[in-house]
Amino acid sequence: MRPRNKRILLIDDDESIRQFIEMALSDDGYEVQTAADGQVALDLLPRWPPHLILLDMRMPLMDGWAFSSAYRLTAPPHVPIIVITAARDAAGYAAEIGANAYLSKPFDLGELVRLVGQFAHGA
Amino acid sequence: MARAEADGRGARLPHQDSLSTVRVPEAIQPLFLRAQEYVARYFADRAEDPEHGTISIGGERYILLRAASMSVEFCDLVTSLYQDKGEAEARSVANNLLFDLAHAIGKADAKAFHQRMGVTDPIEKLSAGPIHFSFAGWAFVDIFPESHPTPDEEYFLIYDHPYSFESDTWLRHGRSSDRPVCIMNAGYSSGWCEESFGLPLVAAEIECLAAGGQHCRFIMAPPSRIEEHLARYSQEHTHTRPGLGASPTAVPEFFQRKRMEDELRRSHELLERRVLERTAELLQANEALRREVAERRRAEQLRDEFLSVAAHELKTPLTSLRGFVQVLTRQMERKRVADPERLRQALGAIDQQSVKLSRLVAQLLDVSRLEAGRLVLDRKPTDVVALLREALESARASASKHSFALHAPERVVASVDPFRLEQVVTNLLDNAVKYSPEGGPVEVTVSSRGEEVEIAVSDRGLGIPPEHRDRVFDRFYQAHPEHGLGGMGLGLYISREIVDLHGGRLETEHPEGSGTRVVLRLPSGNAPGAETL
Repeated sequence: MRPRNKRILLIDDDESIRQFIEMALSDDGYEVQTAADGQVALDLLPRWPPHLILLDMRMPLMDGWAFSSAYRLTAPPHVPIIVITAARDAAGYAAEIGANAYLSKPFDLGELVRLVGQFAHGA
Repeated sequence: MARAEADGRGARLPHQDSLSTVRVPEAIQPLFLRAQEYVARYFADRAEDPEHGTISIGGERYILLRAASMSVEFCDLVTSLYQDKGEAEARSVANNLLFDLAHAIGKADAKAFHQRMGVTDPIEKLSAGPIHFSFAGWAFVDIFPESHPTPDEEYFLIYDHPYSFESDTWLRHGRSSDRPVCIMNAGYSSGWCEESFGLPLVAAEIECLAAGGQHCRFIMAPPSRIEEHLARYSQEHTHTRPGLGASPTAVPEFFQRKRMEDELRRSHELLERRVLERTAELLQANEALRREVAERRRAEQLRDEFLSVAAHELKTPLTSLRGFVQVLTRQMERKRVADPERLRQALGAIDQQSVKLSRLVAQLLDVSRLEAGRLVLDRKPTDVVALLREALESARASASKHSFALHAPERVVASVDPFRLEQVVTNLLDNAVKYSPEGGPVEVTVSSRGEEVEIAVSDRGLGIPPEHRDRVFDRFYQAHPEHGLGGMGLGLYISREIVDLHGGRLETEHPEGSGTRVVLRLPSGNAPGAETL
């Protein structure tokens, strides 16, 4: 199955992490856009509706919690969210914001690719 | 004993020329004879007026009391009242009351009589007592030659009452007692003498007719000496009367109740004070304990938070390291070879993240060294301006959105640890960049005044909110946790500790408008070569 035309929005404040995730997903044929915080992502959404959101939780300006609350208030449909966090309680954070899945940093790239494939095509 | 003719009311008047109302040692008889004369005169002036309910003697109102009511009957009454407390307790209560009452009467009678008669000499004052005693019907007094009535601690009186009203009433009631009964007699006599000599005195009955004795015999002495006299008397007479001294004679005490009440009150007050003191101590200990527990809890909480933040911070560069390695690995698996541009990018990131990781680890080590007091400075004369130029160069290389300016003399030399000072300066520049996320100017100024070098780093960024200003130097403290900018909250803590070790000061200023100005003041240290150009 080819992930053609599947758009992934990656929100993380760490530039280096954005860089390698974008590389990996682009290599697999996804369209990837990145945002350094929640507000940048919200601004992007109307112009570029993604099929899946990868969301870091601790970020400056607008963090993962604030983003997901704001996102739930936008017009549906709402796409799946995968939480990617270095926090100890990744599962708890994911549950708090109603995310579909979570990854704990540092994660295995194969696991990321598998989850992205699973949720991007379900959208 | 000479007897006078009976008058109309049956009273007997003493013979005018011989001492008949008291028996005293020969030496002091003339004194007592004179006393007998004026006491007799006093009592001769007597008027009873039952129609008005009055009795007057020498112009003073008197009352008549039936003797038994103040002795055996009184004791019986008190004993019945104190049935639950037992006979001994009842007698003690009754005796205390009787003694106090009689002692008070004795003192008052003496005072009134001396005033009235204008008597001032102590022994003359005393001499009227026993005679007055006889006339008032309490008892006859027989003072022994070994008596020694001086107005001092040596005062000693030993005497008999041949016709004590008290033992008399007990015997007339056919009663005997297991203890002496002449309580009022002892109280009155000692009251009178006490008043006469201005010396505290007490009398105790050592033998009593009503208690199986051969006499009603008394010893009077100052309270501090009485026990000793009683003991000696018992010792001297025990061979003739085996029972004597078997149970020690109770020594009455004037208003013992008062002393006991005072003692009780004092002990209550002491107890209350102790309770208050102990309560205060307990409260204090409690409060100290509560504070200690709270402090420990806070320290534990800080440590937990620190561990969680440290783990988070360490995981972020690790994520990139692992990610880039895996990205390269995947590409090589697919294409057998990595794209050179991709490879260059990945290796650059890996290098950068490794540096970040080692810096974090170094911070953690610094904290552990500082806590153990093992961070030691390696001072040497250092050109602070050159050091700043290098630090600014590094900052410029990694912050594209910010502009950096240095306002400084050509050269400022101070005795510092250059490695540690660079660490502080780099931390201040990092903060200036980090807390002005929108970019902007970062200015560094250096000035040298006398023995002090001042370095200030200013940005136009977020600034430190007022509520955080006094805590930004605390360990693990983050002024902007909500922005996720904080890192571990160790940078300023470590910087200030290093500056402190240099004997300097690190302070924040908050310019109107925006941003933060961090001022670092260091003693130039008078090191060889330390000079300003």
